This record gives sequence, C-alpha cells and structure tokens, in this order.
Amino acid sequence: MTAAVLGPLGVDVERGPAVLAAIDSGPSLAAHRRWHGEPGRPQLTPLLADLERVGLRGRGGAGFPFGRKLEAAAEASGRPSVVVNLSEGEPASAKDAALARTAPHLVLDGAVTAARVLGSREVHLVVPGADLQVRASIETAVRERRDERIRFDMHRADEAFVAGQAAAVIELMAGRPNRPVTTWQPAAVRGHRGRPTLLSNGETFAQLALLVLHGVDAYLAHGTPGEPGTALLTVHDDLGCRVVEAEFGTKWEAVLASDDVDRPVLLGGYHGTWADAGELRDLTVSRTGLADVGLTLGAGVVLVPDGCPLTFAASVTSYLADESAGRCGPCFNGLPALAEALHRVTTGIGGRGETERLCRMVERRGACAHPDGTARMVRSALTRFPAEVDRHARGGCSYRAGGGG
Amino acid sequence: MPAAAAATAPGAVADMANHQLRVDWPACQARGLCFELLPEVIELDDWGYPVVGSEITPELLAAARAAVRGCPRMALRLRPK
Ligand code: SF4
Ligand code: SF4
Repeated sequence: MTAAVLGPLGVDVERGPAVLAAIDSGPSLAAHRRWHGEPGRPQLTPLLADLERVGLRGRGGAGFPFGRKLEAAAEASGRPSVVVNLSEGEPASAKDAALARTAPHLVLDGAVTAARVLGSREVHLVVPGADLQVRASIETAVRERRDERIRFDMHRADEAFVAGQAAAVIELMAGRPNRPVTTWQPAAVRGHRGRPTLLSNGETFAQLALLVLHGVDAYLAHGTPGEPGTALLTVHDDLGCRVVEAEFGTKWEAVLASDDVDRPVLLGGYHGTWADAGELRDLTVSRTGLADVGLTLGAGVVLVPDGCPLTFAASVTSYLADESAGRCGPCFNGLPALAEALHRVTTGIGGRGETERLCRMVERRGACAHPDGTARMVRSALTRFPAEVDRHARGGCSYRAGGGG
Repeated sequence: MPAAAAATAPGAVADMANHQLRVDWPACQARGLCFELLPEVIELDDWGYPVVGSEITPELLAAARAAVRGCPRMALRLRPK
C-alpha cells in the first residue's frame, strides 16, 4: 500500500476506499476533479434526506447527526456561517492533518456545498497554528479556488487540547482567547457573531463531499447496512502512527497490527474508553457495536500503549489536568486532584474510592466537556482492569518483570 | 385568579414547570453566596464551587431567582426544563 509520510512526526497515511482513495495522485484541484468530478448543487431538502439515509454523524468525537445540525443552522434566523475545524487539539489525532495534506479539496468541496445549501458565501477554515504543513496545504488549496464565489477565511488555533472545542473555536474567530466559554445555545443556532454556524471537523465535511460527489448508492457501497461508509482512524501501535480509512464493520484484527487485539487498547483518544485485552477480537469498527459494550470510537484515535494500561491512563490524566484551560473551578481544581488520586492507585497507596468520587465531582461541571471526557477515560480504566488495580494495590504490576504481585 | 387567566398570564405557564439551574463555570468564583440563598438545592464542593443537586421545582423557584440575582458574578441562569 502506498503511503505518504507526513511531517516531522512521520505519520503514515494509507490509501483508503473512499475519503483517501485518490491520495496517490496528489492534493491538487486538478487531480481531485479527475478522480471525484464536480459536485452538483444540491437543494437542502433532498440533501437532508440523503444524509438521513446514509446516517452521517459528526466525526469530531461527539457523533451528532450531521443532517440535524445542518437543518438547525438552516432554520435558525440569520445568515449562517460554515466553519471547518481542522485544529485537532488532541495530540494523538492526526486524521484531519492527514486529510488537509492529502485530500484538501474533498474537505473544501464539502464546506462549499454546505455554504451554498445554507445560502452563505463564506467558509472559515480553522487550522492548527503550529502545523506549518497543514496551513501551507490549505493555503495552496484555497488559492486554487480563487475563481469560486466563496470567501475563505483562515484562523490559526492554539496548540492546546481544548482549543478545538466548538465554543473555543467560535471565540478564536471573534478575536478572543482560543478557549471554551459557557454557551447557552448550540453553535448551529447561535455561533459566530451570534449567527447560526455550521461547525464540524474536517472529516465530516469530506464525508459530506463524498456523498454529494458520488451519490447515495456509492456511499452505501461501503460499510454495513446499519452503518454505511467509512471512518478515519489514527492508529498508534508497534508499527508507529498511521492514519487509515476503515469501512464500518471492519474487524479490529484487520486494522491493528497482529496480536494487538490481545492487548489493552484505548479507543477514542484521551477522552475515550479502554478495551480490555482480547475484547476487540469479536468487535468491529462500529460506533453502535462499540457503544453496546460501553466503548466509544470518539474521533477515531486508537492507542495501543506499550506497557501497563493503568500507568498509561494515569500519565494521560496528568497531561489532561495540565491541559485544563484553568477557567472553571471544578475542572482546574478537580482534574489535578483526580490525576493525583489515580497516581496513588497505580502506586498502591489507596486512592480508588477518591478517584471514583472525583470523577463524579468533575462531571458536567465545566464550560466544555474536558472534565467529562477525562472522567470517562479514568473510570473505564478502573472498570476494565479491576485485576490490574488489585495487583497495583499490592505493589505489583503484571507488565513489569517479576511484578505479578 | 380564575384558572383560565392564570394559564394565559405571561410567565405563569413556565412557573408551573421544573427549571434547571445552570452555572457559567468560567464566571463562578466560588464565593458560595448561592449556597446560602438556596441550600435546598446547592451544596459546595471541596473547593467551594456549587454542586447543583436537583431541578428547581415550582416551590423553589422564588428562592432560585433570588440566588440568580444574588450571585455577585452573575454566574447562574435558570432555564425551563
Ligand atoms: S471545563 Fe476545564 S478545560 Fe473546559 S473550559 Fe473549563 S477549565 Fe477549561
Ligand atoms: S454565588 Fe455565584 S460566584 Fe458564588 S459560588 Fe455561587 S455561582 Fe459561584
């Protein structure tokens, strides 16, 4: 399989069945048009029906039905804006960077289609400020579209975990610090400049473009009847870091390096959930199939840590505590306390009850979902690895030589 | 007041429903005044920030409104459920 190497971190991008199908011919507009053709000009109502038919959900993590968001933006009063969020605050996620570098025009086709459907002429592109290659790729792609009657505005997001959160992006666009604030209405109803704002991540717009460019039947040709289409995954395992496009319904064994299904896997990134060793053997890439067993796909980050998952969970929690934007008391006090309690669990000096109590104490008590996501990951580590928790309580660790405890 | 008039008076319908008390977390500075004004619903956490225990029932609505007005940071909002 052909792979493009991205950036200093050396992320491999593998050619895929739909979104990443044309990456071998390069990111130019001409190459994009040769493969995908020109998008039509869909009307709102039939497009909503198509979106419903293929069940497209947002790919930024929360998985909200995209058609409902589009409809809400169309119905709210005021001229809507379209925002493509390519900022990827989560350092373990590289799929939107991969898209921006290998298939920028798919993302832009989706954004332009959404803007036209909503009667808007402006598209905002939020890029990671620190990733020069992503910025350059998007700038080049926008220049190639100079004669389209759409204004593209670029915004540079901070390099911070919560900077990509929807309300933080709206703040950035307003010229204020790129951090979350309390919102009383969804951005689709009241977002940028108080107007309805269709804000979704890069992959979501690329999926929309596929639907518009190739039609419902082509979209339904991938995935399963219940979950059509594909998903982009950022996989970190013994092979390194790679972005792959998997059809829904693909067995995890086919996605991960051999034997990795028999190791603990963190699904959905740092705000995600842990699958126990072997648990993924019978499971597939499926939002609903994973949800049935309490797992989440999130924004598609798949991490196979090298070593003890409990210790890894503790260090991720410390990182997440540092990434609290420090705005909301329960978050900036609670997450460091939670990290400390979990650290005590891993070092065998109590902390288990305190960890659970602090999870409850931070949840739903911030301007953004950062505390909720952190608590979700911590709780799943405790519930997925009870034997490991016990072993650590006795000073052991099954991932350390002689540490069976 | 006759029942029909009560139902049409502005605000009257909303007053009969449960409300949700929401905190604007970046605004809240843990002064704890809300806890003093509405102890039936609000507790304070380890750091003095409010923990909203339940929905606001119609009987508690007046006290909840007082807490909203009393918060020096204007960090509380009442929203119909
Ligand atoms: S919940 Fe935490 S991360 Fe989110 S805005 Fe508040 S302090 Fe920042
Ligand atoms: S009175 Fe206002 S600022 Fe004080 S704790 Fe309550 S909500 Fe926070």
